[in-house]
Amino acid sequence: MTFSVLRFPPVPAGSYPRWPDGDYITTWAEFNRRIRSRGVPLLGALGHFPNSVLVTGCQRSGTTMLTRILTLSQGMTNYWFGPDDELDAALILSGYVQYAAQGRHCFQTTYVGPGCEEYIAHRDEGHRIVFVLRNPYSVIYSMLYNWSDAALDQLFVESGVPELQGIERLRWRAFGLRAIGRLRRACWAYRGKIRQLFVLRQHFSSEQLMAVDYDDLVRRKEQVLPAIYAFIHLPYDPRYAERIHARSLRKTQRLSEKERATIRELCEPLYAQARSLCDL
Amino acid sequence: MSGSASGQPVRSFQPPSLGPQTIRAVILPAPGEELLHHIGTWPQVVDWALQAAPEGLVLFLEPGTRLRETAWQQHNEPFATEFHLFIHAKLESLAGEIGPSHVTPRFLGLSSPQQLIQEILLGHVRLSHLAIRVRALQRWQILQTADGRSMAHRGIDPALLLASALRSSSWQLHRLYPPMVEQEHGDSPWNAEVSDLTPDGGEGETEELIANGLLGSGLLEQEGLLAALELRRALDAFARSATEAGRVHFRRAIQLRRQYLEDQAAALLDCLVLRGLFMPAPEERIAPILSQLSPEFAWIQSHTKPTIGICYTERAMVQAVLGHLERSERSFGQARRYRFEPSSGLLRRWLEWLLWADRGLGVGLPTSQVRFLRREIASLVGDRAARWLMGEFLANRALHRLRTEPNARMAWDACQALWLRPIFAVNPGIARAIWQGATEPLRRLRRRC
Repeated sequence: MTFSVLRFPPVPAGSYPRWPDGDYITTWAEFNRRIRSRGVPLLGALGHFPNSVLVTGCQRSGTTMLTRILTLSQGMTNYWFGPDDELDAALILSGYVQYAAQGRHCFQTTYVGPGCEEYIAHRDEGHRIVFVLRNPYSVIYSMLYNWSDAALDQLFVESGVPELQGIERLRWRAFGLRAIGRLRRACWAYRGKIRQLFVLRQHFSSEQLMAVDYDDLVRRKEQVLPAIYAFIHLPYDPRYAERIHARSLRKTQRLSEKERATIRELCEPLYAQARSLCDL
Repeated sequence: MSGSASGQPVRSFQPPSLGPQTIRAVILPAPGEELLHHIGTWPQVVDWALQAAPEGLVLFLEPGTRLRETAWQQHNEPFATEFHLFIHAKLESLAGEIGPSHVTPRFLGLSSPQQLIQEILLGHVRLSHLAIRVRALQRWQILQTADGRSMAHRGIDPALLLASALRSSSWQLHRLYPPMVEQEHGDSPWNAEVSDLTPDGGEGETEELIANGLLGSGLLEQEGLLAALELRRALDAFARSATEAGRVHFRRAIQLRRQYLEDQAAALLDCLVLRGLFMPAPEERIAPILSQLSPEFAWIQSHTKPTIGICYTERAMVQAVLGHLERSERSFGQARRYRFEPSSGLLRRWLEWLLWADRGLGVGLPTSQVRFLRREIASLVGDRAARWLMGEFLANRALHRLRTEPNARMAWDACQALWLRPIFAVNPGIARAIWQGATEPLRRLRRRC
């Protein structure tokens, strides 16, 4: 009997993630309160996983989908144990969950803030970074309509606030979060995350960093996905492309003209610049 | 329904000889284009099926979209209506006869045959008795082979595929299926086949069907089916206290389908709710399973109490819908011992179920039951959630009536919905339902005059 379904290698016995005794973190709010806010290095344990693949970019850009595709590939180790892919990675890489499996891993690291110091600190450990870029209309639509307020606020404070300019900066200082509308908060957050790509490009060679546009990945998956596998030196199976769907490509049409104008003004120029850094 | 509404000749149904075996499942395909000449036998067939599988599952498949749009719509609409009324009447009377514990516990919002098979593999339909109305099931053309041809073209009977899936769920199956080509089967229009299977039989067979792309050719579909199979094996193993085997299967299931853990393991816990739904004490079924999960998944144990609470609540809702208010009150009382915060997804699921029960089962919830449900749900999960649930239910019911059979009751529903959720004041559909519902008697009078 030949299975057409891809068979996954079993997780090696005895190397499953281990929680501290009965102390579980299963939400981002808890993670932020108990780990991020205490200044724990978010990629502190990355050194234990040499030659890893790190998938990053702005939130809502398709990084989860790509991380899942890579994790489910032959030659990678699957470590899923919690309710959220990225949170699993965050708990392992911050050292909160003990995990010592051999093999190659793929971690989604969009949660790492705008400063790229943590990535740079692990530059010589053989990791490959895949930065997923996505058009601002889709990302911001998703942030506004498919995301919680708390998540958007967290991202804005972390990545958007350093981007604020002029009167908005003053309003933010005077009145805080509510001084800036939700749409503009999302736009500034997007800018902050995208700017990470420019910094990473300065510090990582094209052997270490690859930037891909999500729309290209979805529309030309037969070309773009094999290129990503070639970049991370992993054998490619054409069936991997079946995991990519194009369901969310048209959602941006639901944005109003006013919303589109704001996004065009605040995000499109930076997106165009970032796109020029894409490898495909 | 004594004759054929479409003018087709009525044929007699000869019940197949079953022997001493226990029948656990009967699949009744919906009357479709190729089955038109059997229409007159349906009442007898349905009666026979319900008697043949008193403890098991009877699947009534509804005519699919394709049929409705084409020949079905043109020639058989009267029969379609009659058929549904007949089935609903059957369900009502049987619900009264055999009690709520055998009634389909939940509306399964299925969009493809593969999804139904997944539900079967997971054991979700194991406790159901009466009917699972699966609209999508008749769209068998969805079942494509790897080379793109449909099952029918390859001469593979979709009911057989479903049968194989059922086998792996320890079903003893009776397949009752009218032949596509009558001549091959002589005089009898029905082809009866009985399978007697051991509880552990059939799993390899299902894997082979999946592997060969016969239950779904796409990679994701195949992984989904295998994941369902693995999860069921894991839960069965935990139920037998075979902890290590259960952990191995559980890890495989998660590898194949990450979504079981998403949203605080909602999909996984839902499987447990269904497993415990009509157990005398769901806590005795659910808690031991969760306590055997391997340490990396131990965080799911914190959801044990809410899962038991949801189980009791859903049982209480089924009882309330069937009019057994005293029993329902007791179940709600038990649910209150396991207080929980319902997620928006859970409330939406309850809403879908209530709407299905109201329309699909033809129950038509009376005001007293709606009030009862609102009071009990409010005391369980808070007034806000109860207002949302019952407000949405009444608004949806009013809008459905507005579209299909405008009457005075829709105005009453819409007014109640508005009172529960004032936000409906800006909904033009609700305003229309109130206006049309209130003026409907006048219009009717004018039509009569």
